Amino acid sequence: MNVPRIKGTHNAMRSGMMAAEAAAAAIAAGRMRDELTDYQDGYATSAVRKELVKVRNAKPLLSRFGTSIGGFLGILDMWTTTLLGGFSLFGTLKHGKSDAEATESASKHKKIEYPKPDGVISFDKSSSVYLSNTNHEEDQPVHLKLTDPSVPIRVNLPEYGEPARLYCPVGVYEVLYDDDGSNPRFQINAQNCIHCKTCDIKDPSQNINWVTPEGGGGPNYPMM
Amino acid sequence: MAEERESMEYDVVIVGAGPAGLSAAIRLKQISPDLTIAVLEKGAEAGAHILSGAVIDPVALNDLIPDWKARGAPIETEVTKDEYLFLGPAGSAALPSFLMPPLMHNHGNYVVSLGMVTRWLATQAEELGVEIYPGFPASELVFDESGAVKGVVAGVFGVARDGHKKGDYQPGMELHGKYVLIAEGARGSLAKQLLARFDLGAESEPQKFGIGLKELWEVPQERHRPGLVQHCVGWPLDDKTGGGAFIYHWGDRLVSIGYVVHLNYRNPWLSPFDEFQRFKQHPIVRPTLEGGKRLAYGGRAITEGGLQSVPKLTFPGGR
Ligand SMILES: Cc1cc2nc3c(=O)[nH]c(=O)nc-3n(C[C@H](O)[C@H](O)[C@H](O)COP(=O)(O)OP(=O)(O)OC[C@H]3O[C@@H](n4cnc5c(N)ncnc54)[C@H](O)[C@@H]3O)c2cc1C
Repeated sequence: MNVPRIKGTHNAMRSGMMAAEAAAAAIAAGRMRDELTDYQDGYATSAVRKELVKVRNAKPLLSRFGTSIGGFLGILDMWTTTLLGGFSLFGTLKHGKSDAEATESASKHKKIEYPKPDGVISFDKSSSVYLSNTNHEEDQPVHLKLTDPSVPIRVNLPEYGEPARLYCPVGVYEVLYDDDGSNPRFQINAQNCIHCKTCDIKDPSQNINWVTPEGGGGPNYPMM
Repeated sequence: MAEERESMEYDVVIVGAGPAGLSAAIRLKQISPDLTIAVLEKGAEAGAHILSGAVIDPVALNDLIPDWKARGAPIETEVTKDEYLFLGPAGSAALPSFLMPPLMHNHGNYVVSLGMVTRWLATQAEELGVEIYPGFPASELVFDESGAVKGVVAGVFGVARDGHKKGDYQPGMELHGKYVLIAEGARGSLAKQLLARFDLGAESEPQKFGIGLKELWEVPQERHRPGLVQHCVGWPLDDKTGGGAFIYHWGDRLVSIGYVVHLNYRNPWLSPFDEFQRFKQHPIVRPTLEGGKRLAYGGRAITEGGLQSVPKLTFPGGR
């Protein structure tokens, strides 16, 4: 993915074609099940890599300096890499932490009060899930596997306010309480899942493993 | 654990009928029409799970299928105007486009539904004799004695919530290939296992992601400006949280509007969904949607690590 352009399709297609060329050549040479090193070598000189070289610092600059300054530096840097054949004053900046590790404890941050949806321009999650046409057979194993089922309530809730409730864009994850506010329980509404994979990425405890559900399950996007 | 399953032999097995998997399948058939190729797709049809912006650069398609226009590709709305906006709570400032490096310009690109383009790519692949199996998630990897990837298990069906086998239980099939190509898109479930097993990320940085949420709207004719492409940063996210929005006008009164939040955000109280909903109320956005109708909603992770995070791309038995 070229981050500043939010474009990945052409590179996904190019890498598919490159893998195909390497596999076709290997099969024609009578090879099988070895490593397609031609593909790896081809990537090194490919148009895909050339493009990623030019924009390599855009994302780390945003992470370090924020949207205004980081964005400004990113634009300057893309001019530099474009005009100077890939050279950048920043060299190649590192990303550092994984996204899960970047999550900070809830006590360090203010709760965000979001405005209520007006039902005209902004909407709630349940009416949105409906428009994703997602569907899963109910009687199947939950395809969002918790490595340790106690972690959401024991670790994530006190430390991070169990952010799965918030990062999941279709309300798969809920914390339920008794009427008196005691006895928190973690609930997974797997049938709502739209296969975005955010939970697998962002869970600060890396305790959620997204696996494939039964065939045909998931969203049915008409023109997305 | 290993269950007795029927197996089928192919030259190449491809996991995922997205743009990457289908481009690979088509290219293989173009080079060697006799190759047998199976493409597995977890969605009910190819394209059902595809969610994207999308403004696409046709450079790869020109290479793969140069006569895509004549073949009826659903790629029609050319970008006519490109705007970069910085939003504050009430106002906005446009960045003059001459400030943007050439690689950021969208002229010659098209606004499409990538889901529709994917459906079309699937028909092109099938015409060449590629076998596509929608509704068949690849759930497990299969290895040979030497430890190389030999294939995948697909089509397991009829296991109950508590794990017992229901009456309509199907053990699924093993699909074996001389090579297996994994094209699951961002954060693939089999790719995750391969990264761990073959330590493919050893020499790269951690992969970075964003979550992209999107709605498709039908808007009144007078609000529709076909080919207009807008990107916004700033409000409602604070300066420390990366992300931004896209608004693409295309087709017959359609507007694709979406919001991307970089998943390295720090505040666990943040809700990408609510940021998106709030963004649509901005005075520069709301008028476009007013009087219109929301047709669809969805979300998908995006890989954002770029150059630094590209892992090793091959493993014994495939890529
Ligand atoms: C909100 C958003 C906006 C974007 N905007 C743009 C844009 O404007 N322009 C642009 O060029 N790019 C854009 N992108 C990026 C672009 O969509 C991706 O780069 C592209 O879709 C990647 O293609 P792919 O084939 O690698 O993966 P995907 O498109 O993710 O396709 C993977 C396919 O494999 C299937 N699959 C996955 N796992 C399995 C399994 N185990 N078994 C069977 N099937 C499986 C999935 O169901 C899916 O059909 C955007 C992305 C998002 C999320």
